Amino acid sequence: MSSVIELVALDITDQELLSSLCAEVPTTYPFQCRIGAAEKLPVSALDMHRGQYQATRILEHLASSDRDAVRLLGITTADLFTPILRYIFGEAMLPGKAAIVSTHRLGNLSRGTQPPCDRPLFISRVIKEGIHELGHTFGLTHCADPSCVMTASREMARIDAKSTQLCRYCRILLDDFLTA
Amino acid sequence: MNTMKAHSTEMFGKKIGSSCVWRASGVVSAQMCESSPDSCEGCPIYTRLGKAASHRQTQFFGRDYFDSCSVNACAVPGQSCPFAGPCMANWSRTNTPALRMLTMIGIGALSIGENASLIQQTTRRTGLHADLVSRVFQLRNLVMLGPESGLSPSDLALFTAEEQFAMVAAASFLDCLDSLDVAAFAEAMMERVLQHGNGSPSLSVKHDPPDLRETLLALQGLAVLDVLPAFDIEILGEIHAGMAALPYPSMALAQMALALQRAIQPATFKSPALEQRTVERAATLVTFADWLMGSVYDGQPVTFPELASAVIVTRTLGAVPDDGAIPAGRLLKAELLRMVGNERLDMSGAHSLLAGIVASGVKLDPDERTAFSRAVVLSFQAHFTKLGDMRADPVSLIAYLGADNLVRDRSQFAAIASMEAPEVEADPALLGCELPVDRFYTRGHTWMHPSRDGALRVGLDDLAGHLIGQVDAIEMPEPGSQLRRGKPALRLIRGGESVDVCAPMDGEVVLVNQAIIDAPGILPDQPYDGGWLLSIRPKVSGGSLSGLLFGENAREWQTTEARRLQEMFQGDMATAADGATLARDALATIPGVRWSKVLRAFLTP
Repeated sequence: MSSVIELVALDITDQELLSSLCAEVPTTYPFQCRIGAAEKLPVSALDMHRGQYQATRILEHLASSDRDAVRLLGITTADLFTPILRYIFGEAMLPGKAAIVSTHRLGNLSRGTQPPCDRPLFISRVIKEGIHELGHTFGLTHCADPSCVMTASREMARIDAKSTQLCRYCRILLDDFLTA
Repeated sequence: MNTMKAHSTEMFGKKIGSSCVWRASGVVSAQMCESSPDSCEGCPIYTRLGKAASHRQTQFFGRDYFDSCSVNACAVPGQSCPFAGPCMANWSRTNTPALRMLTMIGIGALSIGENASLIQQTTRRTGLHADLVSRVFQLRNLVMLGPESGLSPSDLALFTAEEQFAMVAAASFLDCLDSLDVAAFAEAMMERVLQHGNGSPSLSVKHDPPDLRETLLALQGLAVLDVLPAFDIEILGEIHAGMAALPYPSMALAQMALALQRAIQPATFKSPALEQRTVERAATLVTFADWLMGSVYDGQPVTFPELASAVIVTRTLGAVPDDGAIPAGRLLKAELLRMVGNERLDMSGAHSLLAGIVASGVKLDPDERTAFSRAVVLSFQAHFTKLGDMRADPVSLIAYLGADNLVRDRSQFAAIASMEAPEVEADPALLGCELPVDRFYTRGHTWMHPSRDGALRVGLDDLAGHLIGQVDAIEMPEPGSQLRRGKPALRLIRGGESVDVCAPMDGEVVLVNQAIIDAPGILPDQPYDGGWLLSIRPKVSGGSLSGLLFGENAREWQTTEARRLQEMFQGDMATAADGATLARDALATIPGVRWSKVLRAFLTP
């Protein structure tokens, strides 16, 4: 298997955003990162009643693809949910091949329900959520350290408060996972 | 993974510098890091770990340890963790509520005073602060439940003298002494006094033996309870006169003198049986005190603590004029300031010096008091670096400091007693639900909040509120009806389905919340205030408080409930979501879900 983490643009055309995330991923995970071929969101994931996409179905769709990568990180502007939850920023297999992040509620200028924020802040949020969801695919669970990128975030303030980095415990857990 | 290895060897020291979590949490002081500018070799944590961790780094940093580590809000204390000694979470769980209460009084005093930010900085990172704040409410609630708490004299014997005293002192400080089973406490304490009084422990001037300390605490507790027996005043007078003649009695004897001094106050017995027993054995106690006095002087004592003791005893007994102890007080003050200058305070020594200074009438300037408080906090922080013998230290340090602060300013007790619960925030680990720390919870998702009249207000927690959503009707029990713990207390009805809410405790219904019967929408919207269900007068018997959840225990349990809820609707694939917020009326968002079936799985304790 290729030692590459691939970003999959799902109905998103923001190349600057994808490039920024792509550049950041190898600083945390010991893999190259590339932007793969874009594709449409699977229709099967759309919940007409809620007007949102069910994240778990997108993960299933990504995981079943034949893309040659150690991990697949989907990026979308669509609003994601899982049953019983109002919305989610992202979801990932724990552990597994696929993860997904939505920019919908991260302060995107063009879409979303949150008040728009400035561009660098928006990009940093997407980077944090991307690195966070990839962490789950490598077996990392939510971390109690509020500055660790693996801390659970329910609202924007907590995303903004955390760093883009794993704390040292999570780094060691990642190391253990990769060397096991 | 060479990068990772490099991180794990450098993470405790200079290269990480101010971002080192050990520095942030106050475990390692800035001076310590700066004393080894080039690497982590000088770091006491690193040095100790370097040896211990080299062959078991994986276990240490592995998931088992990670989950049990206080720095990361541990769930399971102990394990084979090199930090088990200094682990504050471990400490706070392994000590009894009473001892934690005594500590909390100290923490409270610190938080109110000028050291608030320093102490919070130290404790917040380890999770200790939140834990202690929640525990003070737990203990206050227990104390307020009073005689109903089910503690019997035989139960009390399981507590140490220090813990018994802490409970009594806490109740006194919180101005709810009347609600304690005074006779039970007095009997347990008197048993302890008599037990030691009958023996002949070896006594030394230099070292106060632990059993003597226990006796003194028991005596002080009896004094707080105001149930000391009617001693023969003349004999006590002789004892005091004899003490005054001793140039350097031990600290313990000084405390003994103070305790006996209080005993002279006219006492009112709250238990006739206790009166009978204590009067019968009062002579034994007096004999014991007499024997102590005779044994204490060995002709050699010249230390500062002993000088302090002499000041306390002679001033208390009025054996020297008002200004007679001032020269001694100045000596003690000079010694105290010298210790403060060193920053590493010997707390027990400083405590006795301070007591001596206060007794002598010599004043500390505001600057000197600030310097002293600061040195105590720094000393407290420095103790975190002693990996081996941490467990007892925070207790004694904080308790001493807190006691000193409080004794000088009683208004702080009132401040602690009337402390408002901290602002409650939506908790990401609970899918955005709230969980206030000022109340008890049950595994049936009900909460209970005691009020001063002994009644318990009962409601449903926020997680349950999100699942229940908009009900059509609520069938309440009649006031006066009897509830049994774990049995249905009231019924929620929605769309032709119904689900029972179980009683959290045995008791009688005194009031139901008419407002939610009229407008059931309040229930999910204001689960912790306007949406309360009913008020009960609990019937508490031994053990009925067991199994209730509070503070960090409640949060841990709710976290597993939130996980259970997610897994219930997750399907086969194990995933983790970020930004997860439970939908209001969450079950209504999923077609085909049986509302009552899901709720029954959560509301059945």
